[in-house]
Amino acid sequence: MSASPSTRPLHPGQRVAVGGILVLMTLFAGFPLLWVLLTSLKPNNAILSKDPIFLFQPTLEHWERVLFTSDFLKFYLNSLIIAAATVAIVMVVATLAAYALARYPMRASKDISFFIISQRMMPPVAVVLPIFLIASSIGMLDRLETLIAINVAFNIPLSIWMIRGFIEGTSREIEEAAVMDGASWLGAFWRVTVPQIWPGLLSTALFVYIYTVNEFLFASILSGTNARPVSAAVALFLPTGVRGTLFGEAAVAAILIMLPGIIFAALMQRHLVAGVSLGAVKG
Amino acid sequence: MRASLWSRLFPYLLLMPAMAILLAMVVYPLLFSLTTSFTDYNLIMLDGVWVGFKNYLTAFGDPAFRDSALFTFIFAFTSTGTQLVLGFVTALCLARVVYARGPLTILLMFPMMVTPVVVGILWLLMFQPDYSVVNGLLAKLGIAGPIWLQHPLTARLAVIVADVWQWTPFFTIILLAGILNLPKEVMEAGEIDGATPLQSLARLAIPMLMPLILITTLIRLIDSFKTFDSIFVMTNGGPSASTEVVSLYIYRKGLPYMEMGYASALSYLFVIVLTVIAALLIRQLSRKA
Repeated sequence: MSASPSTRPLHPGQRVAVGGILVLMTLFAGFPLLWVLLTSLKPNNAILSKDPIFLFQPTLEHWERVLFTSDFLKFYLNSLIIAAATVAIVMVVATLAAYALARYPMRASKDISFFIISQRMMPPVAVVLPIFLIASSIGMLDRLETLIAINVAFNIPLSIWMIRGFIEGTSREIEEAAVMDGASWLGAFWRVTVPQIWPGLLSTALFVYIYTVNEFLFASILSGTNARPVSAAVALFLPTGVRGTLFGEAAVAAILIMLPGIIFAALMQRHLVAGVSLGAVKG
Repeated sequence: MRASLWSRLFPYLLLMPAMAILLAMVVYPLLFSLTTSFTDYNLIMLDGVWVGFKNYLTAFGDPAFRDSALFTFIFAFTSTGTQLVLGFVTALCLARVVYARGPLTILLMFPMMVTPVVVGILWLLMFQPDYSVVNGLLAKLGIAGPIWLQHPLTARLAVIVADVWQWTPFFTIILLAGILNLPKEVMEAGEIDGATPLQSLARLAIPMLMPLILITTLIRLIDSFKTFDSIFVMTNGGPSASTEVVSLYIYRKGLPYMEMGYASALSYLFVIVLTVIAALLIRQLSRKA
């Protein structure tokens, strides 16, 4: 490898190699995204052309159809409601649990941590069948509440893990001093520690949001026309669906779904890196 | 006395909501499907008769299950391995970029932020059955591309490419953070002692990065065993079940066919195998790290 993590300056040849690799990787990462954007603006005959077409008369017909004549916006709203509720509940519940694990030496602490992290390995498909049966027997299919409950459950383990790491990075002594001055433990935590770990909490919330909007398996199995979130609604535009090939519409839907996540990621890059690496180190 | 009892109970009280949710939404359904796995619950026999270990025995002799397990292994190891190599090389290159490293990193991170279903759509577009971009570009190089998603081998390659596209950035950003945190003194000392770049990479950087590399690989490996969304969208397991990963097979047995008893048994086997693999890898890891 021409690029070792050294501090020595690179030879011209090495510089070309490093640049070339980065250009290739950027093309690999960026091209499919560019292509989906182009597809969303192409008239149908250009989409179905044998040669990849880069120059064409752009049209907004796919955008109009998705935004105005399909139920897509309703499904989008469903996703936002589910994600907002999930983030709110997860952050409260996970922060309480993380605080307990970080600040109190408990005899069962190790077992509890293991239990929490083992949930992360659970393949969703193993739980989706029984949940489908249970939900249908108590009349909870196609309800937003059901999807919120499931997303909460699936996001709690990683969130506890991340937040616990952030809390352990702060000092306990300042909190204790606040308690000496008459604050309750939770009050001291809220006023002393939370302001310090605020960026960490924000990146955790962002992760929960992205995972929830992305969740597909439960969304498509447990929802019908009423509570369907966007991730499941995309399937309506797929060529395997009954409506035939709607690549332009699928491309529009794809862009609308991934846009918030990408914008957030770009804005919060630094926190996100901290979150991902922490998740990796602790995971 | 009362205060100490309260303070001993307090942490458990804080843990209670999280535990209650996990018990209700994960543990209870798993116990439910454990009992289901010992019955022949299906669309016709809605009550299900106790059949003992029959479903589990059927699973061991089920060639479709064996094939899907085999492909899941191939998929997980090939795509994770490729991601590790590509991600590490990219991270090494990024570490040498002085100008505009931030924006470049954001750009390279995008695929990771894309919804997995959308990843399926993106690559379905790229490998479109009849009018594929990939083939159009290959044609410009004078290569006649295959109809990717209609042949078992190329379809497998296509779903692996999609996974590699999405998750290479995961390795890139974690390993980049690791590389930038390597102790400068050690690397400089190596250079003063005359180590070539290749030597300092192999003897100094990689050993110091090993714990990070192993943990990242482990996380991706476990996650890729569970892959469902992108494959479901791209090929739905086809052609002729060549890209049917275990998750997809269980799903198909469970829902469209409603063979709940059998599907529950399969998902139990899946959970057990995943847990064993994870435990083995973690043990290996803690020995090395």
